[in-house]
Amino acid sequence: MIALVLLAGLTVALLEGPGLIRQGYWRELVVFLALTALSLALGILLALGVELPKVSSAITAVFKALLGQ
Amino acid sequence: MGLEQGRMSGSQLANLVIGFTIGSALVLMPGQAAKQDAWIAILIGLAEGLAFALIYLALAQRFPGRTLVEISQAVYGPFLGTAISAAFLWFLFHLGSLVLRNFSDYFTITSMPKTPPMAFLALIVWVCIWVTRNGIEVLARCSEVLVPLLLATVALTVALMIPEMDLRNLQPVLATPPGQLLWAAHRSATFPFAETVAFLMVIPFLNNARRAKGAVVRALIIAGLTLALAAARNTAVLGATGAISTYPSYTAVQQIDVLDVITRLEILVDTSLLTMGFIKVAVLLYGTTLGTAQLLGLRSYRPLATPIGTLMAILAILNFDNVAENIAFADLVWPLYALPFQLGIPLLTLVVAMVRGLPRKEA
Repeated sequence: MIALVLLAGLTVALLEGPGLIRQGYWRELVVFLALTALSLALGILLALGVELPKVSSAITAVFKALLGQ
Repeated sequence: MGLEQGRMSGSQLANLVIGFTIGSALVLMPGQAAKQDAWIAILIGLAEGLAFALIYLALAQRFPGRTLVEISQAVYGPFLGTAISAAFLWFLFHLGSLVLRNFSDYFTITSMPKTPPMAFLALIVWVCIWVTRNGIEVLARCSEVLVPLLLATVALTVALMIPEMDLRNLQPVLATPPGQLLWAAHRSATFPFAETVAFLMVIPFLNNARRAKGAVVRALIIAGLTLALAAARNTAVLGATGAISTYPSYTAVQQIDVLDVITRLEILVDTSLLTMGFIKVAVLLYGTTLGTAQLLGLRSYRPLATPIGTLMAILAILNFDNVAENIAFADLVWPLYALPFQLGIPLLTLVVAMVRGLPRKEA
């Protein structure tokens, strides 16, 4: 699974990266790489089966606390 | 020079809004909390959604050719403008992930229980990323093909279900307590009608800005009537059991049986979710991607489509542990959580722009 995630990330970077470098779109390249790295990190954690916080369930908990339920 | 070179016509925008509004709502059916009055709740919710939409349209017409990210930079200045844009982009991103989650849950529950959700998510997000990279014009043209087909599908299923219907299931009309009815109506305003706030990222690319108002209002009314018709159809066929069904349209369409030949038409509901869910997620992914690029001052939004789409699919998994948590979120949280984004940001921006006399006429 992890190998698949890494392969997907590598494919995306190789498809997108060279064009950005050729055009000299450095700022775009930095943002692209940062977002790709973030999604890769989360993807690997998911593939490893790590328990990550559930975002919308956390929002539900906050609302329940605010509404006093 | 803007980031988006594509332009679309008024009727394309109308189709896009219809597809976006029907989106996942045809499957999840808003207004269910009002039981047999669901169709009335949807119509009241449509009125509330139209009132919100008039605010969005007033804002879009005040700043023609500018997306909400650019508008808020102009209205609030760089610091506050960035914060408000970022909050709005989070809303689009989060909504996209919620629609994706509904999408994978639907197929898990109805047809493929053992397939990992990422299998559904990866496939639909891939298409959405693809269309986002190709720009708004391609997406608008997709909707021009898909939306008329969907409306025909709904009409067909209603016609085929006439033998199964019992109109007494719709009685007693308006017996729901007013508070419950209005809450159900408000819920159907925040999902799906007022979600059209996402079009503040799309309306600027209309080729004729004056067409926006007519197109959006007409589209919302068509989508609202379609959803109300579907709700009445489901109640007439399913009766009281409809209100406890997770996917009432699916259960209702399953009942179609014409001479044992025309059966198993729930595949039509699957396709409606596939096509309209695609339009909805694609509009939201497009809005998030374009907005992020504008916020960060990039020269192209295309490279961001893939990572943002991937993150949207990951957040879809990280939203909830199970469907029960999703229902709790939709019941209690969404109708309140969505308000600052659907009403707060557009209304505040419009009022501040009016007070400050923006946009100033060029000398």
